[in-house]
Amino acid sequence: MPDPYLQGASIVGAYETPYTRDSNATSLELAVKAVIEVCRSAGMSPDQLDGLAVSSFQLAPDNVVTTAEHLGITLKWAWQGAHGGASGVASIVHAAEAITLGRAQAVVCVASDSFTVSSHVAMLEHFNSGMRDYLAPYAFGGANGLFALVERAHRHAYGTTREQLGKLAIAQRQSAAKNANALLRQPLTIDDYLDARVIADPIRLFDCVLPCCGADAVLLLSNELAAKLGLSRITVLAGGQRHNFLPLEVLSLRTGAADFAEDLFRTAGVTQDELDFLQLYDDYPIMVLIQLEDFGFAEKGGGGGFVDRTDFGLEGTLPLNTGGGQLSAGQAGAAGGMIGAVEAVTQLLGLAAERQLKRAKVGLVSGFGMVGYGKGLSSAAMILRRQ
Amino acid sequence: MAALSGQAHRRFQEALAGGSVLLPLCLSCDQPFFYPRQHCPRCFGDRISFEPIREPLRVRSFAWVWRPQSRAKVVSLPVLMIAATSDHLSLFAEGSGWSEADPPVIGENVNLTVAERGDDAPVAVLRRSG
Repeated sequence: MPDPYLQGASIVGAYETPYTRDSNATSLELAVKAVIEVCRSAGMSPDQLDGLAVSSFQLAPDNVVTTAEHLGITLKWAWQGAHGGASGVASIVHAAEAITLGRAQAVVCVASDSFTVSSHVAMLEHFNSGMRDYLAPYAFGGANGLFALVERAHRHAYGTTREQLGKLAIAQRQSAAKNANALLRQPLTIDDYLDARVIADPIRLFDCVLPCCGADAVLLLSNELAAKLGLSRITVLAGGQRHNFLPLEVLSLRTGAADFAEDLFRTAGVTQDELDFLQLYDDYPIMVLIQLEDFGFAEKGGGGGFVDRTDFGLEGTLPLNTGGGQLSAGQAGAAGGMIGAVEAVTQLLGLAAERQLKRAKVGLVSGFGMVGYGKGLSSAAMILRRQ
Repeated sequence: MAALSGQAHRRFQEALAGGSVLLPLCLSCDQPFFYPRQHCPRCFGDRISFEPIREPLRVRSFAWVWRPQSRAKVVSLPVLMIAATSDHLSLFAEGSGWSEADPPVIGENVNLTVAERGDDAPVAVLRRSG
Protein backbone atom coordinates (compact mmCIF):
# COMPACT_ATOMS: atom_id res chain seq x y z
CA MET A 1 0.00 0.00 0.00
CA PRO A 2 1.43 3.42 -0.90
CA ASP A 3 2.72 5.44 2.03
CA PRO A 4 -0.44 6.87 3.65
CA TYR A 5 1.49 9.87 4.95
CA LEU A 6 2.13 11.01 1.37
CA GLN A 7 -1.22 10.35 -0.26
CA GLY A 8 -2.95 13.62 0.56
CA ALA A 9 -0.70 15.55 -1.80
CA SER A 10 -0.44 15.84 -5.56
CA ILE A 11 2.38 17.10 -7.70
CA VAL A 12 0.79 19.32 -10.33
CA GLY A 13 3.60 21.20 -12.03
CA ALA A 14 7.29 21.65 -12.66
CA TYR A 15 9.46 24.40 -14.06
CA GLU A 16 13.09 24.80 -14.99
CA THR A 17 14.75 28.14 -15.72
CA PRO A 18 17.04 28.31 -18.73
CA TYR A 19 20.38 26.72 -17.85
CA THR A 20 23.36 28.98 -18.59
CA ARG A 21 27.12 28.67 -18.18
CA ASP A 22 27.23 31.99 -16.36
CA SER A 23 24.64 34.36 -15.02
CA ASN A 24 24.24 37.78 -13.49
CA ALA A 25 21.40 36.37 -11.39
CA THR A 26 22.04 35.17 -7.85
CA SER A 27 20.86 31.83 -6.52
CA LEU A 28 18.09 33.69 -4.69
CA GLU A 29 16.93 35.44 -7.86
CA LEU A 30 16.93 32.19 -9.82
CA ALA A 31 14.94 30.46 -7.09
CA VAL A 32 12.37 33.25 -6.97
CA LYS A 33 12.00 33.19 -10.74
CA ALA A 34 11.34 29.43 -10.66
CA VAL A 35 8.77 29.74 -7.86
CA ILE A 36 6.81 32.38 -9.75
CA GLU A 37 6.92 30.45 -13.01
CA VAL A 38 5.92 27.09 -11.56
CA CYS A 39 2.92 28.75 -9.92
CA ARG A 40 2.05 30.44 -13.21
CA SER A 41 2.21 27.06 -15.01
CA ALA A 42 -0.65 25.90 -12.78
CA GLY A 43 -2.64 29.11 -13.12
CA MET A 44 -1.77 30.13 -9.57
CA SER A 45 -0.16 33.10 -7.90
CA PRO A 46 2.73 32.72 -5.42
CA ASP A 47 0.58 34.34 -2.74
CA GLN A 48 -1.55 31.20 -2.79
CA LEU A 49 1.43 29.25 -1.43
CA ASP A 50 1.62 28.47 2.26
CA GLY A 51 4.72 26.28 2.12
CA LEU A 52 8.17 26.60 0.60
CA ALA A 53 11.23 24.34 0.49
CA VAL A 54 14.52 25.74 -0.77
CA SER A 55 17.76 23.92 -1.53
CA SER A 56 20.86 25.79 -2.61
CA PHE A 57 24.58 25.76 -1.93
CA GLN A 58 24.95 29.49 -2.50
CA LEU A 59 21.81 30.96 -0.98
CA ALA A 60 23.63 32.38 2.05
CA PRO A 61 23.24 34.89 3.56
CA ASP A 62 19.65 34.21 2.51
CA ASN A 63 17.55 31.22 3.50
CA VAL A 64 14.08 29.81 2.98
CA VAL A 65 12.46 32.48 5.14
CA THR A 66 14.19 35.40 3.46
CA THR A 67 13.30 33.79 0.15
CA ALA A 68 9.67 34.08 1.24
CA GLU A 69 10.35 37.70 2.18
CA HIS A 70 11.86 38.30 -1.26
CA LEU A 71 8.79 36.76 -2.86
CA GLY A 72 6.38 38.60 -0.60
CA ILE A 73 4.52 35.56 0.71
CA THR A 74 3.57 34.22 4.14
CA LEU A 75 4.43 30.63 5.02
CA LYS A 76 2.93 28.09 7.41
CA TRP A 77 5.60 25.55 6.51
CA ALA A 78 9.25 26.19 5.58
CA TRP A 79 12.04 23.69 4.89
CA GLN A 80 15.64 24.14 3.81
CA GLY A 81 17.74 21.39 2.28
CA ALA A 82 21.11 20.49 3.74
CA HIS A 83 21.46 17.17 1.93
CA GLY A 84 23.42 18.29 -1.15
CA GLY A 85 22.18 16.55 -4.27
CA ALA A 86 19.63 14.61 -2.24
CA SER A 87 17.88 17.79 -1.06
CA GLY A 88 15.54 18.17 -4.01
CA VAL A 89 13.97 14.74 -3.75
CA ALA A 90 13.94 14.88 0.04
CA SER A 91 12.14 18.23 -0.06
CA ILE A 92 9.34 16.84 -2.25
CA VAL A 93 8.78 13.87 0.04
CA HIS A 94 8.73 16.11 3.11
CA ALA A 95 6.35 18.53 1.39
CA ALA A 96 3.96 15.72 0.43
CA GLU A 97 4.00 14.58 4.04
CA ALA A 98 3.35 18.09 5.34
CA ILE A 99 0.41 18.55 2.98
CA THR A 100 -1.04 15.15 3.88
CA LEU A 101 -0.84 16.06 7.57
CA GLY A 102 -2.57 19.35 6.94
CA ARG A 103 0.43 21.54 7.71
CA ALA A 104 0.16 23.27 4.33
CA GLN A 105 -1.89 22.97 1.17
CA ALA A 106 0.25 24.57 -1.54
CA VAL A 107 4.03 24.10 -1.51
CA VAL A 108 6.79 24.83 -3.99
CA CYS A 109 10.03 22.89 -3.69
CA VAL A 110 12.77 24.81 -5.45
CA ALA A 111 16.50 24.23 -5.89
CA SER A 112 18.85 26.73 -7.44
CA ASP A 113 22.45 27.79 -7.78
CA SER A 114 24.44 30.25 -9.78
CA PHE A 115 27.60 28.26 -10.32
CA THR A 116 30.70 28.57 -12.41
CA VAL A 117 33.66 26.18 -12.39
CA SER A 118 35.65 28.59 -10.18
CA SER A 119 32.87 29.23 -7.68
CA HIS A 120 32.26 25.49 -7.48
CA VAL A 121 35.92 24.92 -6.61
CA ALA A 122 35.85 27.70 -4.00
CA MET A 123 32.80 26.13 -2.36
CA LEU A 124 34.51 22.76 -2.04
CA GLU A 125 37.21 24.24 0.19
CA HIS A 126 34.66 24.85 2.91
CA PHE A 127 31.93 22.36 2.06
CA ASN A 128 32.13 20.72 5.48
CA SER A 129 34.75 20.24 8.16
CA GLY A 130 35.76 16.74 7.06
CA MET A 131 36.49 17.92 3.54
CA ARG A 132 38.05 21.21 4.65
CA ASP A 133 40.41 19.70 7.22
CA TYR A 134 41.32 16.31 5.73
CA LEU A 135 40.91 16.51 1.95
CA ALA A 136 41.37 20.12 0.89
CA PRO A 137 44.94 20.25 2.30
CA TYR A 138 45.78 17.83 -0.51
CA ALA A 139 45.39 18.74 -4.17
CA PHE A 140 42.59 16.23 -4.10
CA GLY A 141 40.61 17.10 -7.19
CA GLY A 142 37.34 17.77 -5.41
CA ALA A 143 34.50 15.42 -6.17
CA ASN A 144 36.25 14.36 -9.39
CA GLY A 145 39.15 12.89 -7.43
CA LEU A 146 36.95 11.17 -4.90
CA PHE A 147 34.66 9.54 -7.44
CA ALA A 148 37.71 8.53 -9.46
CA LEU A 149 38.70 6.49 -6.41
CA VAL A 150 35.20 4.99 -6.33
CA GLU A 151 35.30 4.14 -10.03
CA ARG A 152 38.70 2.45 -9.82
CA ALA A 153 37.63 0.46 -6.76
CA HIS A 154 34.42 -0.68 -8.46
CA ARG A 155 36.26 -1.66 -11.63
CA HIS A 156 38.88 -3.55 -9.61
CA ALA A 157 36.30 -5.36 -7.48
CA TYR A 158 33.75 -6.21 -10.17
CA GLY A 159 35.34 -5.79 -13.57
CA THR A 160 33.20 -2.83 -14.59
CA THR A 161 34.49 -1.31 -17.82
CA ARG A 162 34.87 2.19 -19.19
CA GLU A 163 32.74 1.12 -22.16
CA GLN A 164 29.85 0.30 -19.85
CA LEU A 165 30.09 3.69 -18.16
CA GLY A 166 30.34 5.35 -21.56
CA LYS A 167 27.14 3.68 -22.69
CA LEU A 168 25.30 5.49 -19.90
CA ALA A 169 26.77 8.88 -20.81
CA ILE A 170 26.01 8.38 -24.50
CA ALA A 171 22.39 7.34 -23.90
CA GLN A 172 21.84 10.46 -21.84
CA ARG A 173 23.47 12.66 -24.48
CA GLN A 174 21.14 11.22 -27.12
CA SER A 175 18.17 12.24 -24.99
CA ALA A 176 19.69 15.66 -24.33
CA ALA A 177 19.65 16.30 -28.06
CA LYS A 178 15.87 16.63 -27.66
CA ASN A 179 16.08 18.95 -24.66
CA ALA A 180 16.56 22.57 -25.68
CA ASN A 181 17.59 23.45 -22.12
CA ALA A 182 20.51 21.00 -22.05
CA LEU A 183 23.86 22.74 -22.37
CA LEU A 184 25.55 19.77 -24.05
CA ARG A 185 23.52 18.47 -26.98
CA GLN A 186 26.10 17.57 -29.58
CA PRO A 187 26.42 13.83 -30.29
CA LEU A 188 28.82 11.90 -28.06
CA THR A 189 30.49 8.75 -29.38
CA ILE A 190 32.18 6.02 -27.42
CA ASP A 191 35.53 7.17 -28.82
CA ASP A 192 34.80 10.73 -27.67
CA TYR A 193 34.09 9.37 -24.22
CA LEU A 194 37.05 7.02 -23.97
CA ASP A 195 39.59 9.45 -25.44
CA ALA A 196 38.47 12.59 -23.62
CA ARG A 197 40.85 14.72 -21.57
CA VAL A 198 41.85 13.15 -18.26
CA ILE A 199 40.51 15.01 -15.23
CA ALA A 200 41.31 12.61 -12.40
CA ASP A 201 42.32 9.26 -13.83
CA PRO A 202 40.27 7.12 -14.36
CA ILE A 203 37.68 9.90 -14.66
CA ARG A 204 37.72 11.87 -17.90
CA LEU A 205 35.89 14.93 -19.17
CA PHE A 206 32.59 13.30 -20.12
CA ASP A 207 32.33 11.59 -16.73
CA CYS A 208 32.00 15.04 -15.21
CA VAL A 209 29.10 17.46 -15.00
CA LEU A 210 29.34 21.03 -16.23
CA PRO A 211 28.79 23.50 -13.35
CA CYS A 212 26.18 26.03 -14.46
CA CYS A 213 23.42 28.37 -13.34
CA GLY A 214 19.73 27.59 -13.05
CA ALA A 215 16.78 26.62 -10.90
CA ASP A 216 14.28 23.76 -10.86
CA ALA A 217 10.95 23.80 -9.07
CA VAL A 218 8.05 21.43 -8.38
CA LEU A 219 4.57 22.46 -7.20
CA LEU A 220 2.57 20.30 -4.80
CA LEU A 221 -1.03 20.91 -3.74
CA SER A 222 -3.48 19.14 -1.50
CA ASN A 223 -5.57 16.68 -3.50
CA GLU A 224 -8.63 18.80 -2.83
CA LEU A 225 -7.07 21.99 -4.14
CA ALA A 226 -5.65 20.22 -7.19
CA ALA A 227 -9.09 18.80 -7.99
CA LYS A 228 -10.72 22.18 -7.46
CA LEU A 229 -8.30 23.73 -9.94
CA GLY A 230 -8.82 20.87 -12.40
CA LEU A 231 -5.13 20.00 -12.55
CA SER A 232 -3.62 16.68 -13.59
CA ARG A 233 -2.17 14.92 -10.56
CA ILE A 234 0.92 12.90 -9.76
CA THR A 235 1.18 10.97 -6.49
CA VAL A 236 4.31 10.21 -4.47
CA LEU A 237 3.74 6.51 -3.83
CA ALA A 238 6.73 6.14 -1.53
CA GLY A 239 9.91 7.90 -0.52
CA GLY A 240 13.14 6.89 1.18
CA GLN A 241 16.17 8.57 2.64
CA ARG A 242 19.41 7.55 4.30
CA HIS A 243 22.08 9.86 5.62
CA ASN A 244 25.55 8.72 6.59
CA PHE A 245 24.80 5.10 5.69
CA LEU A 246 27.70 2.84 6.72
CA PRO A 247 29.35 5.50 8.88
CA LEU A 248 32.78 3.89 9.02
CA GLU A 249 33.03 3.05 5.30
CA VAL A 250 34.69 6.12 3.81
CA LEU A 251 35.14 4.78 0.26
CA SER A 252 31.82 3.09 -0.33
CA LEU A 253 30.61 1.20 -3.38
CA ARG A 254 27.06 1.43 -2.04
CA THR A 255 24.75 4.38 -1.54
CA GLY A 256 22.11 4.68 1.14
CA ALA A 257 19.61 3.48 -1.45
CA ALA A 258 20.93 -0.03 -0.92
CA ASP A 259 19.43 0.17 2.55
CA PHE A 260 15.98 1.52 1.69
CA ALA A 261 15.27 0.34 -1.88
CA GLU A 262 13.47 -2.84 -0.89
CA ASP A 263 11.15 -0.93 1.43
CA LEU A 264 10.67 1.79 -1.20
CA PHE A 265 9.43 -0.65 -3.85
CA ARG A 266 7.34 -2.67 -1.37
CA THR A 267 5.62 0.45 -0.07
CA ALA A 268 5.01 1.81 -3.55
CA GLY A 269 3.57 -1.52 -4.60
CA VAL A 270 5.56 -1.64 -7.81
CA THR A 271 8.50 -3.66 -9.00
CA GLN A 272 11.57 -2.59 -10.94
CA ASP A 273 10.04 -4.08 -14.08
CA GLU A 274 6.96 -1.87 -13.77
CA LEU A 275 8.86 1.42 -13.90
CA ASP A 276 8.51 3.36 -17.13
CA PHE A 277 11.67 5.39 -16.55
CA LEU A 278 14.46 6.19 -14.13
CA GLN A 279 15.74 9.63 -13.25
CA LEU A 280 18.89 8.73 -11.29
CA TYR A 281 21.23 11.28 -9.78
CA ASP A 282 24.10 11.37 -12.24
CA ASP A 283 27.06 13.33 -10.95
CA TYR A 284 29.20 10.58 -12.53
CA PRO A 285 28.31 7.54 -14.65
CA ILE A 286 29.84 5.28 -12.01
CA MET A 287 27.27 6.56 -9.50
CA VAL A 288 24.44 5.83 -11.93
CA LEU A 289 25.74 2.29 -12.28
CA ILE A 290 26.11 1.87 -8.52
CA GLN A 291 22.54 3.11 -8.02
CA LEU A 292 21.28 0.61 -10.59
CA GLU A 293 22.74 -2.03 -8.29
CA ASP A 294 21.46 -0.41 -5.12
CA PHE A 295 17.91 -0.09 -6.44
CA GLY A 296 17.89 -3.79 -7.28
CA PHE A 297 18.20 -3.80 -11.06
CA ALA A 298 21.30 -5.93 -10.65
CA GLU A 299 23.12 -7.60 -7.80
CA LYS A 300 26.08 -5.73 -6.31
CA GLY A 301 28.85 -5.89 -8.87
CA GLY A 302 26.43 -6.80 -11.65
CA GLY A 303 25.74 -3.25 -12.76
CA GLY A 304 28.10 -3.46 -15.71
CA GLY A 305 26.40 -6.52 -17.11
CA PHE A 306 23.00 -4.92 -16.62
CA VAL A 307 24.17 -1.88 -18.57
CA ASP A 308 25.40 -4.16 -21.37
CA ARG A 309 21.99 -5.77 -21.87
CA THR A 310 19.76 -2.71 -21.34
CA ASP A 311 18.66 0.02 -23.74
CA PHE A 312 18.45 3.28 -21.77
CA GLY A 313 17.29 5.45 -24.69
CA LEU A 314 13.96 7.24 -25.04
CA GLU A 315 12.56 4.26 -26.93
CA GLY A 316 14.51 1.71 -24.96
CA THR A 317 13.44 -0.83 -22.37
CA LEU A 318 14.45 1.40 -19.45
CA PRO A 319 14.65 5.09 -20.36
CA LEU A 320 17.21 6.80 -18.12
CA ASN A 321 17.59 10.50 -17.36
CA THR A 322 15.39 11.38 -20.27
CA GLY A 323 16.29 15.06 -20.40
CA GLY A 324 20.00 14.28 -20.57
CA GLY A 325 20.55 14.45 -16.83
CA GLN A 326 23.24 16.55 -15.24
CA LEU A 327 25.89 14.93 -17.42
CA SER A 328 24.42 16.63 -20.50
CA ALA A 329 22.10 19.36 -19.20
CA GLY A 330 24.59 20.70 -16.66
CA GLN A 331 24.70 20.80 -12.88
CA ALA A 332 23.25 23.98 -11.45
CA GLY A 333 24.47 23.16 -7.95
CA ALA A 334 21.63 21.97 -5.75
CA ALA A 335 19.28 22.15 -8.73
CA GLY A 336 21.13 19.05 -9.93
CA GLY A 337 19.22 17.23 -7.24
CA MET A 338 15.90 18.54 -8.58
CA ILE A 339 16.47 18.17 -12.32
CA GLY A 340 15.38 14.53 -12.25
CA ALA A 341 12.17 15.40 -10.40
CA VAL A 342 11.32 18.13 -12.88
CA GLU A 343 11.98 15.79 -15.79
CA ALA A 344 9.88 13.05 -14.17
CA VAL A 345 6.94 15.41 -13.63
CA THR A 346 7.28 16.71 -17.18
CA GLN A 347 7.19 13.15 -18.54
CA LEU A 348 4.30 12.06 -16.30
CA LEU A 349 2.23 15.10 -17.30
CA GLY A 350 2.93 14.36 -20.97
CA LEU A 351 4.68 17.68 -21.52
CA ALA A 352 8.08 16.47 -22.71
CA ALA A 353 7.44 17.30 -26.37
CA GLU A 354 9.80 15.51 -28.75
CA ARG A 355 11.42 13.51 -25.96
CA GLN A 356 8.05 12.41 -24.53
CA LEU A 357 8.08 8.71 -23.69
CA LYS A 358 5.41 6.53 -25.27
CA ARG A 359 4.52 5.26 -21.82
CA ALA A 360 5.08 7.42 -18.75
CA LYS A 361 2.88 6.33 -15.89
CA VAL A 362 5.29 5.32 -13.11
CA GLY A 363 8.87 6.43 -12.53
CA LEU A 364 11.64 6.54 -9.96
CA VAL A 365 13.65 9.65 -9.09
CA SER A 366 16.77 9.65 -6.93
CA GLY A 367 19.05 12.20 -5.34
CA PHE A 368 22.52 11.73 -3.92
CA GLY A 369 25.12 14.01 -2.47
CA MET A 370 26.58 15.98 0.40
CA VAL A 371 30.08 14.67 -0.09
CA GLY A 372 31.81 14.55 3.26
CA TYR A 373 35.03 12.78 4.06
CA GLY A 374 35.20 10.75 0.90
CA LYS A 375 31.68 9.79 -0.06
CA GLY A 376 28.22 11.09 -0.76
CA LEU A 377 26.50 10.99 2.60
CA SER A 378 22.89 11.49 1.56
CA SER A 379 20.59 9.40 -0.61
CA ALA A 380 16.93 10.05 -1.32
CA ALA A 381 14.45 8.55 -3.76
CA MET A 382 10.75 8.53 -4.55
CA ILE A 383 8.44 6.61 -6.83
CA LEU A 384 5.85 8.72 -8.65
CA ARG A 385 2.65 7.66 -10.37
CA ARG A 386 0.39 9.67 -12.67
CA GLN A 387 -3.26 9.54 -11.50
CA MET B 1 37.62 34.53 17.92
CA ALA B 2 35.52 31.41 17.43
CA ALA B 3 37.38 28.17 16.76
CA LEU B 4 37.24 27.16 13.11
CA SER B 5 38.65 23.68 13.63
CA GLY B 6 37.81 21.26 16.39
CA GLN B 7 40.06 20.26 19.26
CA ALA B 8 40.69 16.84 17.76
CA HIS B 9 41.86 18.40 14.53
CA ARG B 10 44.22 20.67 16.41
CA ARG B 11 45.76 17.67 18.22
CA PHE B 12 46.24 15.91 14.90
CA GLN B 13 47.87 18.99 13.37
CA GLU B 14 50.11 19.56 16.39
CA ALA B 15 51.43 16.03 16.04
CA LEU B 16 52.11 16.56 12.34
CA ALA B 17 53.97 19.77 13.15
CA GLY B 18 56.08 17.73 15.55
CA GLY B 19 56.91 15.26 12.80
CA SER B 20 54.53 12.44 13.76
CA VAL B 21 51.33 11.04 12.35
CA LEU B 22 49.19 10.24 15.37
CA LEU B 23 45.72 8.90 14.81
CA PRO B 24 42.79 8.93 17.21
CA LEU B 25 42.30 5.74 19.19
CA CYS B 26 39.23 5.21 21.36
CA LEU B 27 40.27 4.06 24.82
CA SER B 28 36.81 2.66 25.47
CA CYS B 29 36.55 0.25 22.54
CA ASP B 30 40.25 0.16 21.67
CA GLN B 31 39.60 0.97 18.00
CA PRO B 32 41.22 3.59 15.78
CA PHE B 33 39.19 5.89 13.56
CA PHE B 34 39.65 8.64 11.03
CA TYR B 35 39.03 11.52 10.61
CA PRO B 36 39.78 12.86 14.10
CA ARG B 37 36.84 13.97 16.21
CA GLN B 38 36.18 14.42 19.89
CA HIS B 39 34.28 11.18 20.28
CA CYS B 40 34.48 7.65 18.89
CA PRO B 41 32.07 7.09 15.98
CA ARG B 42 31.79 3.41 16.97
CA CYS B 43 31.00 3.54 20.70
CA PHE B 44 30.61 7.32 21.23
CA GLY B 45 33.20 7.24 23.98
CA ASP B 46 35.07 10.46 24.60
CA ARG B 47 38.34 9.10 26.00
CA ILE B 48 40.45 9.54 22.88
CA SER B 49 44.19 9.03 22.68
CA PHE B 50 46.36 9.99 19.72
CA GLU B 51 48.81 7.22 18.87
CA PRO B 52 50.92 5.92 15.99
CA ILE B 53 49.01 3.66 13.63
CA ARG B 54 49.36 0.03 14.72
CA GLU B 55 47.77 -1.80 11.81
CA PRO B 56 49.27 -2.13 8.31
CA LEU B 57 47.51 0.00 5.71
CA ARG B 58 46.82 -1.28 2.21
CA VAL B 59 45.93 0.55 -0.99
CA ARG B 60 42.18 0.25 -1.65
CA SER B 61 42.06 2.60 -4.63
CA PHE B 62 43.94 5.47 -6.19
CA ALA B 63 43.45 8.33 -8.64
CA TRP B 64 45.80 10.53 -10.63
CA VAL B 65 44.45 14.05 -10.29
CA TRP B 66 45.23 16.35 -13.22
CA ARG B 67 42.83 19.12 -12.19
CA PRO B 68 43.41 19.83 -8.51
CA GLN B 69 40.57 21.64 -6.76
CA SER B 70 41.96 22.92 -3.49
CA ARG B 71 44.19 25.51 -1.91
CA ALA B 72 47.05 23.02 -1.57
CA LYS B 73 50.32 23.77 -3.25
CA VAL B 74 50.84 21.57 -6.27
CA VAL B 75 54.46 20.55 -6.73
CA SER B 76 53.88 18.60 -9.93
CA LEU B 77 51.05 17.04 -11.85
CA PRO B 78 49.41 14.62 -11.64
CA VAL B 79 48.75 14.44 -7.91
CA LEU B 80 48.28 10.93 -6.60
CA MET B 81 45.36 10.42 -4.21
CA ILE B 82 45.13 7.12 -2.39
CA ALA B 83 42.38 5.51 -0.38
CA ALA B 84 44.00 3.19 2.14
CA THR B 85 42.43 0.71 4.49
CA SER B 86 43.30 -1.61 7.34
CA ASP B 87 41.13 -3.97 9.34
CA HIS B 88 39.67 -1.12 11.41
CA LEU B 89 40.54 2.05 9.58
CA SER B 90 40.04 3.79 6.26
CA LEU B 91 41.54 7.09 5.17
CA PHE B 92 42.59 9.21 2.23
CA ALA B 93 45.94 10.86 1.68
CA GLU B 94 48.22 12.01 -1.05
CA GLY B 95 50.60 9.33 -2.27
CA SER B 96 54.32 9.94 -2.65
CA GLY B 97 56.91 7.78 -4.38
CA TRP B 98 54.87 6.33 -7.23
CA SER B 99 54.62 7.43 -10.86
CA GLU B 100 52.16 6.80 -13.67
CA ALA B 101 54.67 4.34 -15.09
CA ASP B 102 55.00 2.66 -11.72
CA PRO B 103 51.58 3.11 -10.13
CA PRO B 104 50.31 1.77 -6.82
CA VAL B 105 48.94 -1.75 -6.79
CA ILE B 106 45.62 -2.26 -5.10
CA GLY B 107 46.33 -4.29 -2.00
CA GLU B 108 49.95 -3.25 -1.56
CA ASN B 109 51.08 -2.14 1.89
CA VAL B 110 51.71 1.55 2.54
CA ASN B 111 53.06 3.70 5.36
CA LEU B 112 51.58 6.92 6.66
CA THR B 113 54.25 9.58 7.17
CA VAL B 114 54.63 13.35 7.43
CA ALA B 115 55.47 15.60 4.51
CA GLU B 116 56.48 19.24 4.74
CA ARG B 117 54.70 21.64 2.39
CA GLY B 118 56.87 24.74 2.51
CA ASP B 119 54.75 27.56 3.87
CA ASP B 120 51.75 25.27 4.35
CA ALA B 121 51.10 23.16 7.41
CA PRO B 122 52.63 19.67 7.13
CA VAL B 123 50.35 16.91 5.86
CA ALA B 124 50.18 13.16 6.20
CA VAL B 125 51.15 11.26 3.06
CA LEU B 126 51.19 7.61 2.07
CA ARG B 127 54.42 6.04 0.89
CA ARG B 128 55.44 2.61 -0.26
CA SER B 129 56.04 0.22 2.58
CA GLY B 130 59.60 -1.01 2.95
